[in-house]
Amino acid sequence: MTGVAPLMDIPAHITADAPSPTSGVSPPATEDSGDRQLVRRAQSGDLNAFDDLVGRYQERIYALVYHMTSNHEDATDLAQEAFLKAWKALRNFKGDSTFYTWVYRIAVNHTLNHLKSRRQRSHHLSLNDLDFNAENDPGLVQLISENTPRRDINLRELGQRLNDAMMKLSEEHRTVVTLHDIQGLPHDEIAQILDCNPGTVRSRLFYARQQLQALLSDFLR
Amino acid sequence: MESTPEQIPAPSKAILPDAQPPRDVTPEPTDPTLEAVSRLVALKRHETPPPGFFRDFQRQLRRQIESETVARRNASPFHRFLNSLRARPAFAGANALIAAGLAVLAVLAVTAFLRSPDPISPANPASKQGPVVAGFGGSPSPSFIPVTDSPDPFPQTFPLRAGVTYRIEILTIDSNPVPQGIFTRPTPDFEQRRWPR
Repeated sequence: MTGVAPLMDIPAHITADAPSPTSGVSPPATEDSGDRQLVRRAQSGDLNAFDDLVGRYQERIYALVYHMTSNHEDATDLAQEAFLKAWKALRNFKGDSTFYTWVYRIAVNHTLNHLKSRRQRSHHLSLNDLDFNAENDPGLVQLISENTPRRDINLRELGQRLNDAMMKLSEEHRTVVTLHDIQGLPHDEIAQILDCNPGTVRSRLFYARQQLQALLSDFLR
Repeated sequence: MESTPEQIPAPSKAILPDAQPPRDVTPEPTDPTLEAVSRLVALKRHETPPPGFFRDFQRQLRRQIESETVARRNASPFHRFLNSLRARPAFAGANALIAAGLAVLAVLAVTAFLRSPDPISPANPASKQGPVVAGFGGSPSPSFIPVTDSPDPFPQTFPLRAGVTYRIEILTIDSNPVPQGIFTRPTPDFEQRRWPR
């Protein structure tokens, strides 16, 4: 490393694959079977069971909606509405997919509808009320290295630039980037959620990354 | 079980398109720049809401669900029906389709009724025999079915019904007969006499 010191020290226990607080990895099998029991109880009207389900997935659903809208207030409202829709439609949930996929689908569709209805008056969020605590992410240090002209970057500015770049993508592209790159879902699962084939997911991801590359070029050189 | 060459099924014939592979099948990025984009965007996962947010979120959602449940219980049957339609869009769509079909059938039925053959229309074969005219020596045609024997000039013919033939009576008063030949064209002799050359 020449000249400029890294922005932050990396704690020894953090690795590049360490899961983040809001990363959306697929639930393990035990969680899925636990979901089934909770879903059955919730379908018979047990609100506590549904509350448990909400507790399991609220962070992921909130994060999903937030990354699609870049707005904290909208994300809160839309995530709540998505769960409310899920509660109302729970009796019609037949278990063809996991509850996790099902509720994700509801949240994605609800958010896409919201974005389409408000396409003309989009407003971006300043990250003042969010804690952008990426200092500990080794990926950041790797990216903002001596090869990067923007090594003096401010974290808040980076967050803002990422949000701006995301909001310049089309809704479909933003959705797949959110689900795959941010939340870590595999292509097959994203295809299930979006009701399309995995090839379409890969295609959208490819073109979205190309656009992001152009938009964030000064961070990547 | 070991498979002999005879048991191995022949490979199915792959039908490959002549053109380029499908556009939506794109491999994972091998371009290091695209991977860097992916890693950069992944930093967004560190954005988290303020502490305590999710506790409030869950509490607020629960309160909302409880109030909605109470409201649903107290709702009228009509509102319950509407709510059930909102909750099940497919069911609502099916209902809307049935309602639309019934409406179309009703419109078609009314249209067919209104377009039924008019008894006095020239398009109706039954009316081509002409109306029965009273007062000029005409006699009722045997194909006409008298509705009533009433001497009333406007018998009970309303409402008109399809498939029924009505008799029409026209009464005239012969009070001012027109002299014979008054509208006939003047003869050349007559013109010659009035306007001699």
